[in-house]
Amino acid sequence: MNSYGADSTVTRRQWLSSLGSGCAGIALASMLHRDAVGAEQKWTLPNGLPHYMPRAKNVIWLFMNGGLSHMESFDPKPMLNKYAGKTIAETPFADVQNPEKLAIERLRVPDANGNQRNEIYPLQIGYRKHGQSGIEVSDWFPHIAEHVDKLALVRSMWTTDSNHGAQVQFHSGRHQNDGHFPTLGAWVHYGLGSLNENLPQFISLGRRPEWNSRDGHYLGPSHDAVSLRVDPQNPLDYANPEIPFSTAAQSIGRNLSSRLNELRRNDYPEDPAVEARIRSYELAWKMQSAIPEVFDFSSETAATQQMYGMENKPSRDFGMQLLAARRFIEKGVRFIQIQHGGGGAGQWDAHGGLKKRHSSSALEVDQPVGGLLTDLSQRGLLDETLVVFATEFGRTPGSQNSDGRDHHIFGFSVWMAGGGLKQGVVHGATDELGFHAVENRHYVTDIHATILQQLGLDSRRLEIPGRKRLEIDHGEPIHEIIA
Amino acid sequence: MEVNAAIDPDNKYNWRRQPMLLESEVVRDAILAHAGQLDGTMGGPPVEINQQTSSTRRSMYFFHSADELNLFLSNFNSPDVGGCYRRESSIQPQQALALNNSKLVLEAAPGIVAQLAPVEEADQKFIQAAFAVLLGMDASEEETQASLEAMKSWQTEAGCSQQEARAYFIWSLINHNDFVTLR
Repeated sequence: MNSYGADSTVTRRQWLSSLGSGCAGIALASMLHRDAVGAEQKWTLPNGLPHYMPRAKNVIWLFMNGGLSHMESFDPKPMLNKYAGKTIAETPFADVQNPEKLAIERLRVPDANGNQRNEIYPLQIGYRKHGQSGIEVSDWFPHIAEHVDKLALVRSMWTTDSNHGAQVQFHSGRHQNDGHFPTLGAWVHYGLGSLNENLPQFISLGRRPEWNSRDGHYLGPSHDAVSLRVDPQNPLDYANPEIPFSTAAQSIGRNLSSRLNELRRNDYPEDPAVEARIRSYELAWKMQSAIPEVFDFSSETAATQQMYGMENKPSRDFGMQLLAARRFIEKGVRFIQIQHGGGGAGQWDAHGGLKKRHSSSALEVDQPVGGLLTDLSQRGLLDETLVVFATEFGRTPGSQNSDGRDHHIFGFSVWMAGGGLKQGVVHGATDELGFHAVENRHYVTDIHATILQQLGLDSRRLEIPGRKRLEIDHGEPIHEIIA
Repeated sequence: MEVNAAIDPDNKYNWRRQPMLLESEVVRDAILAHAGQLDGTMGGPPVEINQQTSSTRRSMYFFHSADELNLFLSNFNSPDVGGCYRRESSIQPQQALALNNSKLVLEAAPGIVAQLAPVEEADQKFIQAAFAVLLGMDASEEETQASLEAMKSWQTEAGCSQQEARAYFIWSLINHNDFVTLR
């Protein structure tokens, strides 16, 4: 056995491993003594309650892997058609490429992508105004466009990693070069208690690239999302013993393994994995009955399934994931993260063949997302559910490989709906070319801060001893879009 | 150790080993090896996906692609085909279900019992041997006691024979955190 296990001094690791075990009080007292978090506000362990009155209870986080073109989705730019084929230097907007305006870039992986693209590439799809608000949306997203009056659209996002580390950055708020940091879902999971103890509170569906597959990091592995695969025919692998045996014998064995794990937990106070393992077993046994129930869509009408696009092959998978998301919300799951599009760095990563790739990807997500918004509002769930539609960055106004667009960090779009946000509003803007976010600029953590605010959480009060976060990590809620 | 813990509680400078999750292949191979069932043959063609459940070959010979992933292995720390075969696994409840309910584990347990000790060996000695072999550590007094009590319950409450009770005990140990952790 490790002799460091016998160490009686309280380390932060020990304090971390005692999280959730209900006996953190003593360790905590001495921790606070040593590195208090700002004298003005006393730090306390999250008690599972929001810090102030929440406007939203759940989050459905939709993320388009690879980088969705903002100009061909939610921020159409007619100037791209006007100056098509010209270089940026030949347009009246040549100054967008002034070096000082490009200085926010902080590369991790220099490769053939993530470069300046000079020749203006025209819009590959039409666009029109929709709804009362008259917000312009591209014709690739007709179903989402029907709900444009429910959206709070932010057209002035920026980030700093012009390669796909930006996926991590959008989730954690930190550039990959800084190391690994907890993602938004992990913070929410850490800060808020359980709504339903039979299901994981933080679920991941869809495709997560390998470099962005964890959430908890320094908050511990028990705050990682539980990944599930939506398959009504086979809702949960290994849900029952493959060689049946008596439940009495099963429960004796379960009690024994729990007991043995608990006995060992005390020997490895520096290893939060033991606690996470104990909890994962408890959850697993509850999930055996709870998950198949959620993924059993037989109680959903044909009309509902159709609404989610489940009868069309392209949108079937994403539709099922979003329907499952609504069912999880109804069961009280806090945070559902659904990432769309695998393969390479993500299906939306259209360096070439943008028209073909984006149109087929849009076909997969548009109807399901529209269906989700319809369904949530019909059921009165949109008030307490915050739907987020995001991507890691936009795409360049200039062309790459003649018919594609490159990564673009200087301006892109994200929208949110429900959860006490304003409806049918556009906040912020990019310039005429869609190059830079110029008006009400927002770094990715402002989205985090907005969501946390709606959930009633103050990220500064969640900060843990010894892990000082920067101002930019916390971000600032986008007050202008909060109702 | 105590000094180091005070200076560097996060182990930034690697003064102690960082516990790691075992690779998925090691988890499966260990289960079979403890039961004396692992086929150690070197070389040969890969084992196709539909033959893997019944195969006792080492996991490294399993055919493994983005579309054809072994279900048991994919639940653990396994290489990502789409990500340069890097491994980035977490602790997930599905791992608990795989170790609880898979045929692989349930079938191996009686075999492990037979490998560990003769039938006439006392329960206490059997338990100690199981801890040493499966988890690589000595059973504490409390752990031995808890295990003995469970063995008794299986026989009195679940109507098992002593050998069956031992198999269920092994099943519980395979579900111990340290069976899938390297310290």
